Amino acid sequence: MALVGSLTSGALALLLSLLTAAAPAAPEPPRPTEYEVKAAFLYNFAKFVKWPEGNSLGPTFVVAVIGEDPFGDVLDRTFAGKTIQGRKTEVRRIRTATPPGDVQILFIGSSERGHLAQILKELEGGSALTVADMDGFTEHGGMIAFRLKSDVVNFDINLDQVERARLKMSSQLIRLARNVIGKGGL
Amino acid sequence: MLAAGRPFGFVLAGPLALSLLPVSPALAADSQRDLTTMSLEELAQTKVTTVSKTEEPRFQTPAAVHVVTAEDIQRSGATSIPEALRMVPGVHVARINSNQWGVGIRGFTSRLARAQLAILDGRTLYNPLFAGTYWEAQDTILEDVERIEVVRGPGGTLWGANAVNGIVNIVTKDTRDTHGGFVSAGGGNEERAFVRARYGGEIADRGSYRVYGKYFRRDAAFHATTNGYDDWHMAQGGFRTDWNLRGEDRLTVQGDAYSGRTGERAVLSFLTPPYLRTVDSEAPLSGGNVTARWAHLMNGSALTVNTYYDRTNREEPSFRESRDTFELDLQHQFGLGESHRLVWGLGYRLSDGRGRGSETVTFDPPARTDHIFSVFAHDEIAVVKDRLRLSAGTKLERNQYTGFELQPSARLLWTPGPRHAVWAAASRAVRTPSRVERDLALSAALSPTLPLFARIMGNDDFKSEKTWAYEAGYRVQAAERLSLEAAAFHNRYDDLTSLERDPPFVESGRQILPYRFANLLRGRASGVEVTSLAHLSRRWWVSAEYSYLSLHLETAPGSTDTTSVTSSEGSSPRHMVRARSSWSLPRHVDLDVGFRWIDRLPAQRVPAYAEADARVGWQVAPRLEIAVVGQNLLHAHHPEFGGSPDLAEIERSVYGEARWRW
Repeated sequence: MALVGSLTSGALALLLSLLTAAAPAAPEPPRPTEYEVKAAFLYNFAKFVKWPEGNSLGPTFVVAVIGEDPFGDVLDRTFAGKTIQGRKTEVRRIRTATPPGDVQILFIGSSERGHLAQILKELEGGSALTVADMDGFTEHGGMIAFRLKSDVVNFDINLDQVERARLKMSSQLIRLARNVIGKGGL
Repeated sequence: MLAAGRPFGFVLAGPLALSLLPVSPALAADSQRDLTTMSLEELAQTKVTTVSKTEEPRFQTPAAVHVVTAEDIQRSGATSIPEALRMVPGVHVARINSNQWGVGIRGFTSRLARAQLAILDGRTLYNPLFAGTYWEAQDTILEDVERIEVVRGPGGTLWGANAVNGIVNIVTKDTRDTHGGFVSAGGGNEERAFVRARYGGEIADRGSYRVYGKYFRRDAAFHATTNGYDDWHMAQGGFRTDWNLRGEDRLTVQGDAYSGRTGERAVLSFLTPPYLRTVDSEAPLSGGNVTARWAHLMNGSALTVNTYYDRTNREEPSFRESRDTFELDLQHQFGLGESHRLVWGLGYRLSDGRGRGSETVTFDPPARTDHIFSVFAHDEIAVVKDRLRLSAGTKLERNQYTGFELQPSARLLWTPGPRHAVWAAASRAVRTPSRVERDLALSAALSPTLPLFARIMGNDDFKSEKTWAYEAGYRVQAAERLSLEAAAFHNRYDDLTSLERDPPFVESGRQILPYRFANLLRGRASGVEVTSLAHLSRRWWVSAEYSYLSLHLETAPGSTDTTSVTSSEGSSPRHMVRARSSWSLPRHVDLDVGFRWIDRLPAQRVPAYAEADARVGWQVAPRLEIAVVGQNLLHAHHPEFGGSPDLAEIERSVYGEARWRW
């Protein structure tokens, strides 16, 4: 009992010294996760790209994920209550091999690497902005590829593909890209 | 915290506002800066955490925590909450018969495990009459469960009395994540028929809602010597709404109602011959609840208020009870300086039970209203930034049986690098008396023809059971695709429930062998739990786990109890081994297989057994998924626990399911 008592008082003393030693200062905000930032980028892509008004742009602005979804619920939260080009946004997950035609931003999960060519071929003639995490995505006909370097998210752009889909991308966005393919690299 | 009404996650997981534990992800995200308001340039300079979002907070939690995710539940094919708990390392789930489960965390498995707490969205599921959780009455649509967090070891400092051996915390999804509808229907040889439906949407840009309904009918278990009596059916419906109020305020209002009948066999005692009669009946079970949660977020602090009303009715052959519970909880957490995170709170619970027994089962007084007041404070201290964290606190709770109870704890977390975490903890927890140990008088006939009775009596001097628990754990991300985790514990128990034999006497011509509840049992439990998880590829992961338990109890001097030691020691498995494989095949086919080996339970007459479950799911079309699930595939039937009048055995089960979403 005596041993327990001395241990307890020792712990109390330690606790008190810790309590008094700490000087008040603003706590550092926690870092967001990789996919929270990527989702915020997707939202910015929606803001800095203009889609042609026409039959591909329906009553809602659709952001879709095909294949394995790395965002969890982050994407839904990012776009909740937002409007793009005067339309309410909608987040979808696509479980089929072929993407539907009424999608404005399509994030292609890394699980679909095997049939990337097939997916991109299906999208030809439409106006979907294609985004992925995969290495070499822009070289293989994708439009925007995310990269992670030193804990910071950046991206590459294939401008030829963007223009082929009749999308107008703001120069502000293009300037931020790490690599730009097409148009002589701007 | 919003989701559960308790600060456990925040306190344990610390300055990581993205804690997986009771902090609702929505709340945690909102408490930070909204990333969509950042400029492109700012965003391009924002540093991100590189450990995956779901792993990190749990990785740095100084407790033995396991989280069953929505995907785990879905892909396991589990159809009830206790079946989903089979996936948790160190947790022993034993199905007693078709409609009863025993759940044990670090030992003490029983139908109503008296020293474990269970909570659903901030509402306690623990019934204070018999002390424990009636799992057959606790349900929701499992597709709407966001996660089930199971803490092994004590949590009394934050959760209050009876959180001695563990806590099961069930958190359902925010309604913003359940827009749209789904209908699921299916059936099989044991899951005879079920249908579940849910629909959710937005309310005027300010909030979201969902409504759901479900119904199931389950077959009786296998009975070697009698007809099945334990088939059952249940219907349940409910709603949830989440509102964004002015500023950073959030309001959640939710409720459920359920009704069903569980088949039961009871051996009843009577004061006149025949003294023993066996009755098969369908016990009605019903109830409802409403919960409201309000959260106010300020710069770096959060104030939450959680309140609920719950009504349960059960009518068993030997007794019936209606119970009303009301609870109001308030808590406030805030940062103090760079290195302190404080949480404090106040709580009040009213629990009012009105029971009716029979001539041989009585409660004195027949009705009782419990008032429980509590206050707690907890501080988490970054002793060395990003390296060493200490959290310490205590709860002070007052109940009418034993007065004030103090439940302190201290936890230490050391993270020598991003891939390693070591933690240790010491805590005290209590299990407070239930009405059974204080107010019960039960006479059990020992013969159908002779007037010979055992009488179990409550004891006004019955005290709280007390535990000091010492724990330690280690987590390592051994490789990018391989993580390992080990936890060890040593618990010391004092004043555990014993049943003392008093001198026999004769009463109105009946021979009485009296027994009395007392606290003359003590002991210790030690054990380890080891788990590993390997991602073999992006589409395939496997996990394996082993847990070991050594439970030693003894009676205190002066005790006349000769049965409690062997019955407690022999009701939890010494060894458990489990493995799972979860594989996403091409063409949108999911294949999941689970295996378990559970050691024998001598006190329950249950031999060691091995069993396997499997599920094949196929996404036929974007909106349609079909699945075939097989449970307990290795044997036609096997027993998992005693407790029924005969030893019921759990049968091989196969069911099919179709799920349509829109």
